[in-house]
Amino acid sequence: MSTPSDESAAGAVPNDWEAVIGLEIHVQLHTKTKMFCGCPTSFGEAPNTQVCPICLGHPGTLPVTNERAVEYATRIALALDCRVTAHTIFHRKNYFYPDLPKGYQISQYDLPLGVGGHLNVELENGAIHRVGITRVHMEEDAGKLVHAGGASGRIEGADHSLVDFNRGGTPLVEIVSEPDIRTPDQARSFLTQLKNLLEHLDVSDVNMEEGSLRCDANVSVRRPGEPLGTKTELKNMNSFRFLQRGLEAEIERQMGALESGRAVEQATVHFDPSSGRVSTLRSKEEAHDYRYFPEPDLVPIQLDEAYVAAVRASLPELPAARKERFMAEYGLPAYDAGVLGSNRALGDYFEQVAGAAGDAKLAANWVMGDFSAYLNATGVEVEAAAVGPAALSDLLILLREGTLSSKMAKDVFQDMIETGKPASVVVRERGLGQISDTLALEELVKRLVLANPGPAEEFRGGREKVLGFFVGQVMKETRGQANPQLVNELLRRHLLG
Amino acid sequence: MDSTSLGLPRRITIPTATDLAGTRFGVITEFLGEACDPGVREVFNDAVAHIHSLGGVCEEVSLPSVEKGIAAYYIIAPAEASSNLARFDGVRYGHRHPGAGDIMEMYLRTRSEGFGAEVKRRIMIGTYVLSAGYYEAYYGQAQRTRTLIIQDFRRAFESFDYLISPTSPTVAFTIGERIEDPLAMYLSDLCTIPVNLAGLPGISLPAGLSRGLPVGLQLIGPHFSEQGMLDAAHALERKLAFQARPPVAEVTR
Ligand SMILES: [Zn+2]
Repeated sequence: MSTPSDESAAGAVPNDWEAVIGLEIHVQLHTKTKMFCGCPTSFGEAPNTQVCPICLGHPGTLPVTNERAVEYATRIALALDCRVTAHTIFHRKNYFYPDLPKGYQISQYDLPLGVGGHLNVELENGAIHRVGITRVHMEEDAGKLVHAGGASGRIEGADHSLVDFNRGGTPLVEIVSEPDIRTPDQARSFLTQLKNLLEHLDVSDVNMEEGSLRCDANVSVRRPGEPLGTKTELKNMNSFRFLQRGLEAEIERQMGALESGRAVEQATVHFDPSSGRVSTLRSKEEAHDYRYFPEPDLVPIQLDEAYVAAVRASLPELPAARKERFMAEYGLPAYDAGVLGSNRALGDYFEQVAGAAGDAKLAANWVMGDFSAYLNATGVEVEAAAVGPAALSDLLILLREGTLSSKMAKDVFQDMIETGKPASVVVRERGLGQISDTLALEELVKRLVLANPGPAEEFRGGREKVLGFFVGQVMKETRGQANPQLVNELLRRHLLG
Repeated sequence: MDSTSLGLPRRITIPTATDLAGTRFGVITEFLGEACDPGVREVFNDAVAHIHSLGGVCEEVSLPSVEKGIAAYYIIAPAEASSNLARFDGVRYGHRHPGAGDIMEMYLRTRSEGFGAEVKRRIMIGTYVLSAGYYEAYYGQAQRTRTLIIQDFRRAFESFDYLISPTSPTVAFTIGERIEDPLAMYLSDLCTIPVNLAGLPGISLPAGLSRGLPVGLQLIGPHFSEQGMLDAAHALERKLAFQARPPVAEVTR
């Protein structure tokens, strides 16, 4: 057995260590109204305009549970294969903070809406890693603080702080995973696939930048096979990349501490994306006692079997099932079906294009190729794309019928993106379009054969290469728009005939 | 309508009943014990006789858990109050200590200055009984006691239409009398608090005088019995014909 100092002298070898990671994900539901009042949940409005006495915590106001939020939370619980709690209640989580108007958050405690689920995460290498879901519970979001003055941008040392309660009371679902994740890569895959799942469920905007999807991590490290180490809670990772980098930095920090003989303190740790470093926010001694107790202003929620069955029946097709169907129905390869099946909007788009164009393979290639490249380059959402599914399928039909070559279709697509015009209009305006008109081409071919008796004779004498000369002549006359296959066929017929 | 209300379309009409024929009243024995002033008990017993004369039937009934009502209430109510009053933090409305250096000082000073002694006492009790490690022993136990009280009432209403008791075990205490002894003051609510814990409708009628001060009679009904309870109270009120007025100084020209 080696001592920590031996390890340190030998240099840190990550294989000697194992990280144990559990994630806590907060999902803002995109219900029309807030969790316990009728205020809209819209993002980006002027501060303190989406508020009322209830979500501002005025004395004497009472909450009423948003039924749609319960339905969305139930969808999430079912999609994660959780057991739905038949008799679920809200608790108060008590703590003081200026963004929390009532001095408590209405949340759930020992009777969460869903328990004991899992998500099968497909890893980079194609293997399936099953991550347990401890619980899925409902709660309300807090407001937002802006700290003015002071260097830290935090409440400590600020000159003054401003509170915007627009977000306060927005319905949240918290998803807590089991500590089944072992690497930052796996964590990223988990979150990506959870996001895809939530997108399919149509319950949230799942936008990490806007904060409708937020992720915290519980992290510890240990030697493989040894008992769990002390964990820290890692916060402020508001993108997939920061989640990965934050975890890497924190694992590195913990390994470093243990290897140099120091202990890992139980603490909340903050990731700073600009420096790539982690810093301790508060240690356990300052940990809150939230004094949870059942919320006396709300009645328990009964989710009977009929209700759960109805929500289950209303669940849309989820990514795993969609992938299977795309393979079976459209004959797509597993990779293509996986890509299109995991992205809800892209999958919907693909299905519409495939249906209208009548060629699923071609549709898949274009949606994953030129269309996705355009989305990535511009950052445009599928729904807002300049080229809708009907427009793209029209283009693919021109390609399939031979009016356009692949090369020409790509050019037309670029024009369609820029001008928003339909494929047929672009083709007409640019004088494009492959000439597949047999009669028109036949006239031209006849004329060229007669005008070039020498080369024609050579071809008849067995010099195949001469065909290229004639093809070149046809292409020159048609400015490259003749259907090459058809030209070949006609030339052979007239040269030999 | 909020979640604590039920949408019952029942309308209450002005009560007109003048007798109590066939109505069964349970006399809660736990509220007539040692804590009850003899003078209060005397007025109460006279009222029971009036009920008999109006055709009502009175019998004793025991609700053993109601004696623990005060103890349960002074855990549950402060617990909820400590949480309900957290919103008075100086951030959005109400008093805010001017010139605090940081958020913690603002909270501490605002709340120290803004709340009175009894409110602070309840906030501290409430915070304590909800704390990690104490929750089960206090809040959990109090809630279980509350359930027992609800069950006691439910059982009693299987045999009786209404339950009766003195409203308070003593007549009004003098100004400042119990200010140094909050526990003694809390005991004034011995008979009424279990009714609140069980969420039942109740009404208090002035029934007579003891030592020159009014004694109340409390009528308790099952859930949603307000109409019948008001009718019974109306009949009894007429019969009791309570006339006492505060002494008025004679004014002579
Ligand atoms: Zn509101």
